[in-house]
Amino acid sequence: MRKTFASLTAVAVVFGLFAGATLADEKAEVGKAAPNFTLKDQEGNDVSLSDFEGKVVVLEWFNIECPYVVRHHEREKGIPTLARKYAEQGVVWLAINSSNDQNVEFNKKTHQRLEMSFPLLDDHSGDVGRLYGATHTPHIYVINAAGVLVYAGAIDDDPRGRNQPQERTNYADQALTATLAGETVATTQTRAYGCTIKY
Amino acid sequence: MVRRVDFFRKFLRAGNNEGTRPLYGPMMNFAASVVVLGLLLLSPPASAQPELVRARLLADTRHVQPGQAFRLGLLLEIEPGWHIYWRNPGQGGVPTELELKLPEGFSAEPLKYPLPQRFVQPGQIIGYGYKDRVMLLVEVQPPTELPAQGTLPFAVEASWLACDPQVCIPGSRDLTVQLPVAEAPRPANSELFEEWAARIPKSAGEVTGQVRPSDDGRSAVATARLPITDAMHNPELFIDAPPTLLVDQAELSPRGGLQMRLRPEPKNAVLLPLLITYTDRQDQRQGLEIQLHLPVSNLE
Repeated sequence: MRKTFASLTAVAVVFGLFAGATLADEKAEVGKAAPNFTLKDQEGNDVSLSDFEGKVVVLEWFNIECPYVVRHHEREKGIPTLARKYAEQGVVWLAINSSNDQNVEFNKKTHQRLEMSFPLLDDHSGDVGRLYGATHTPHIYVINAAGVLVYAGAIDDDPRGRNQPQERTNYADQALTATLAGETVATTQTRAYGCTIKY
Repeated sequence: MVRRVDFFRKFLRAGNNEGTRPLYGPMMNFAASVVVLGLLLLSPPASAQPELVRARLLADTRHVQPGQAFRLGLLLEIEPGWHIYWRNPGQGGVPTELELKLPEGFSAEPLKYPLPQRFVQPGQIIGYGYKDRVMLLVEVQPPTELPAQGTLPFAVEASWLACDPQVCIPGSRDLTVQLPVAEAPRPANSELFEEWAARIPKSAGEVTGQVRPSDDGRSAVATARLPITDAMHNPELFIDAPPTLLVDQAELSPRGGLQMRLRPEPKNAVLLPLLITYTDRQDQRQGLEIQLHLPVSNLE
């Protein structure tokens, strides 16, 4: 009897760890209101999600030491291009850095070197990353004008960047097109790829 | 090794792991060039990147015989402190993959992955993969007719993502093994192939589960009964979910009762591959592959 109890507990513990206890404080859920947060941008100014009420917002988890981020931002420039394209339609793009060893100073240097056209927010405590359940860089979240999270996951379906950009399915692009047209987003959740976030 | 990794990190801070790039402004550019040049002179030749994963392509035969299947093995040796991923990386990451280039008339079975480990990365992110060493196996079937003589090339392009708690670095290698054609068998690397073939999970067929929408309307709950017996100690579950279906909150009871959350609620039936690893009575690690068939929820 005792043996059964012990193994029952063991199994429960193993799967407790696997089960939603990972990133257990995760409050962001597709279909629900995106939780508010306040972080410092690369100049040290406070930026809150609530500053952008009524606008479509993209959150992009970012880490310049990640080769996948480098590919999207510097080599292919797919993300800067996408951000600029949608900025013209009033979409706000926010990059968030949850690496535990990088802060405002580091972000400022990155921001300048890359000539980023959108803010880079300091989340070195990892609180906002955990709030959103962000696991990798890049990890994309799209929030509609009503403040509801409509997409969470990978930027596209091509982790190795093997196909030409135009041959890839860019989930962020699709989610933004649909959201701005007032339509339902087709693919609402995917598994992010890239480097694990350095919490 | 530590120095090499630091060198690599500096490289990465420059924002590009493939060549020197200007850093922060012309002044820093010069200083950085000096630093990078200095490190390059100190380190092994630039062509030998820090080898976090050493890859070798082996065959279990020294000859190719007409009509006689043989195995290729991609042996990956991973630097301590680093890991690479299974065919499904878990909560995110990038799978270890192999692209095969075979001579005309040859075909191959799907790639076989040995039993992975589960690891917890910073932020409680679950990963499935390998540390230390792993050999992926692929069975190759030659045609029944081959030229009597000559050598044939078997090429792979292997790719992976190697991570430690601080950094992730993708890698790839092109490898070829040349095998002469002959009538007589000549085995090679038998022990190594035996060792890794023993770690390939066995197939336990298909199980059908049930799906019902969650109360929140944004996800679904899947339940199933998996064939777990008392003889299976420390069962661990690996869920090979496709990138467009998030599966979590999995609970497996000792009698095999499985429950998990699916997001979003699937619109079509899903065939979800599961792997259960366990330790048997001889303390050997074993694995069962189960195809979990999840029909569309029949509740409105």
